[in-house]
Amino acid sequence: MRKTYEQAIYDLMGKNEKVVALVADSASGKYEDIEKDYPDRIFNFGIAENNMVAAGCALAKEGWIPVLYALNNFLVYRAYEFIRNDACLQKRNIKFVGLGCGVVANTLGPTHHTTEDIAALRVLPDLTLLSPASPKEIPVMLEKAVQYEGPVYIRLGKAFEKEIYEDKSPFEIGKANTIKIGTDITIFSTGSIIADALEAANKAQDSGISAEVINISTIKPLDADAILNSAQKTKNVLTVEEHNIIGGLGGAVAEVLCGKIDLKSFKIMGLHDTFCNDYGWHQDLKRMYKLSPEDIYDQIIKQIRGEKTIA
Amino acid sequence: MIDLYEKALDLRRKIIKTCYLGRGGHIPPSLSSIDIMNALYFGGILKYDSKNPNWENRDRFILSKGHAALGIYNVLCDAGFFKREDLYTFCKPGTIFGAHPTPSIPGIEAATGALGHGLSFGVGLALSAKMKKQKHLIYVITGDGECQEGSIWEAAMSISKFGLNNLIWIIDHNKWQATGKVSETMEIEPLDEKIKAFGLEPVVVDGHDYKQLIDALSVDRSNLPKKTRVIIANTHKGKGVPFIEDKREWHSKIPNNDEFKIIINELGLTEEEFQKL
Repeated sequence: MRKTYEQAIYDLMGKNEKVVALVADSASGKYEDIEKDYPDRIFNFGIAENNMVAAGCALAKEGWIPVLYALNNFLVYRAYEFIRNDACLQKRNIKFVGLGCGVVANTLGPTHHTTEDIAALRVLPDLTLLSPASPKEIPVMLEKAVQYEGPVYIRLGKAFEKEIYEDKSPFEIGKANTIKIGTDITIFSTGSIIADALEAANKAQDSGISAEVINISTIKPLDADAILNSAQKTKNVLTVEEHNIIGGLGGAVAEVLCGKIDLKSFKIMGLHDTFCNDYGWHQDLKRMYKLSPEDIYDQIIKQIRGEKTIA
Repeated sequence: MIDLYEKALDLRRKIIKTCYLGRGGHIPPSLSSIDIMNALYFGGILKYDSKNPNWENRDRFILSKGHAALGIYNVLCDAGFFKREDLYTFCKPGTIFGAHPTPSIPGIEAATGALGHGLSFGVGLALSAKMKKQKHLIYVITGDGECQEGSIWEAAMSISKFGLNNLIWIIDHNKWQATGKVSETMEIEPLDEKIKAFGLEPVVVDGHDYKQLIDALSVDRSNLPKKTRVIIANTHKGKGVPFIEDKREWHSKIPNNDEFKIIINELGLTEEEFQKL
């Protein structure tokens, strides 16, 4: 996702002269071309995210569209109060792009993971929170985020994400996107782990279970209609996220469903109120924390068992 | 030009009146910084149009120490940004005037009060002016205790790196913070040397002396200083009211009725005159 995003922001700066790139010692890759080709519209604030966020909000006030890019953990956790007070409270037209959500920072360890960012960010009034599933979702997401007037946060993955879209993503802010149609259970997921959910759903299909997979790439504002409609149809809901089970996508989906639909089953898969204290590749870590495609498949079976014969 | 000392006394009285009506806000930090704001708005320093608060060529003023809201509200009110009857809804249900300012108020650029934000906000405003080749200036007042926030020094580094000599940073150096003396809570001295070390130009003034203030705040717009000017304004918390001046317990205390009487008396008003303000 990193390379796709960097190309997308480079292209966007060529198309829109109001876009200003702000970085915090995070201008590698294609950003070096931005420094070369648009030197007047890129500012490196060094390792100082707080200052970057407040200064970015002032640029927004003056009519620029600042796009801030930093490691997700430093941006959301270090600069949280600045995002709250300077961006959200005052509805500044600023865009945040946090690199490396979930446990994709793999061997860098727990200080570099962001497994509570959805919880932290989705409670902020007036913030639009986006979470791309795969690289093809990024250029369209960035373009729509820049067209949208107001603070937007994009929680980006990093590398080696599986592509889930064949052509281009149908992404719209506030719209969930059905990746696979099904009738027995709905899996709501966000971020790159949706590819694992999709793998599990396809395996379940072979076992005679029809699982619907819905990409919640806008975590806020949540597409309540899509969630209600699918849950009404399947009555079995499973949410999958690379995030603490507290306050994340599962919680958000539960808030929508609560009191509205009589479900047969509901389960939130994620990190069980723990930091990811282990090391390994991204897929290794997900396996260690019971978030692999096999774990998701097992959970689907658990929820459907008793309801129908599993092949 | 108006007599700034006379205007300052008038503003101090109105600060007390506003607090008296709303029973909120912070009197002493408003009194320590009021002479700086008086000089900016009524001493011919700032370019502004109170009938068009968002005039593109206005100078931008940021009160980073938002707890001095009682001060900036009364200055903006007398400058014509809003009516006194509106300001006198201060801290009451339905008002836009709280103990810390927000941009709902005409003339306020940013919500401040959470310390360590305003100088960084000023950095963005100054960067934008440079990018657009605009000639207006950016004035930011921070507190001295506020300089304990790390973001202040992040901002200072970036002011220097980006060459933001269109920004003037004023430190209301009243030597006190919420719960005690700055020097005892967390020493920030030597402030001037720290500022120098960050590549900025400190100027130390008496923050209650209008000649010194006007000299320091005046910037030759056609020939901006090479290094960003940082005015360390030595002030007294609660200045003008001996009853509360330099007293620890008064940071955010609201006087009771007896204490208001003493304060009103010290500001040279009878109660009748005070009620008419």
